[in-house]
Amino acid sequence: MAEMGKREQVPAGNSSIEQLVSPSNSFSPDVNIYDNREALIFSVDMPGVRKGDVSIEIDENNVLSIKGKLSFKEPEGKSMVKEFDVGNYYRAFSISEEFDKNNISGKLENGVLEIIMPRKEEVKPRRIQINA
Amino acid sequence: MQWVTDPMREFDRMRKMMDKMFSRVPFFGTTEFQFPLVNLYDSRDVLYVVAEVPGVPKENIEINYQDGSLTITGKREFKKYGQSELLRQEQPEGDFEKIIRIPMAIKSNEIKAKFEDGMLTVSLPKTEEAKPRQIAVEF
Repeated sequence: MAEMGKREQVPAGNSSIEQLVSPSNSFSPDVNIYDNREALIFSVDMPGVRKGDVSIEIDENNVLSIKGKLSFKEPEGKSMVKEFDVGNYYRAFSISEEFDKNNISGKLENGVLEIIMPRKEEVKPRRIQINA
Repeated sequence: MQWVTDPMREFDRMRKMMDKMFSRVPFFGTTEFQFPLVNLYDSRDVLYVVAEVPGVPKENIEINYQDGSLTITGKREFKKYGQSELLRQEQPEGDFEKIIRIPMAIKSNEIKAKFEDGMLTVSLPKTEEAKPRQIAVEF
């Protein structure tokens, strides 16, 4: 699993998130990746993104792209301190063939997107009975 | 004698160790800015403090104001996914405390906080004296 270049061209999709968020106009979110044998789990920090404003896509080249459209609006007023920039999120990963592209699920909670990508049945570990 | 482990796995383990050593966000406090990242917006009547607190449930956050300082404390815990291996860690974890100096007089009993989608917005209304006022110029 390799991370793709942030400037990689992404084919435009149909939904508004697809069109609005592109690698060149968005920020790279912090990601944790877990492997529990059954599946890969991606945890992606997307503060300010509302449910329904996220897109998870996997293309024919096994590139998983994750996009989030920010709905948070900055309050009015002069900026006095700025530790973070406000904008959309984009991140892409190249995924190995052993994962089941058709059964990816996602959930957004407290500004964190969780993506679960199960391994294909045939590559899941299984315990083999040894007959003496 | 032990069996030689899968060389690719060994390599992967080493890479992860290196990643950890040179990670952008290894522990709290060693980054440029401490979690949570904070922006301040100064409007005429209200000062807004906005903090990014992804993955922190509302009940894990505490906000205090005393002697001109706003303190945001809390704890970010990672979810457990059974017997899982953490392949990559960029998200910060653990207890945090952020102290923000408020550079003007505010009405401390009217502070409000809003929590939405991992964003915390604290509004601090200014006292009348702290609000900007137009000064008439006399000739």
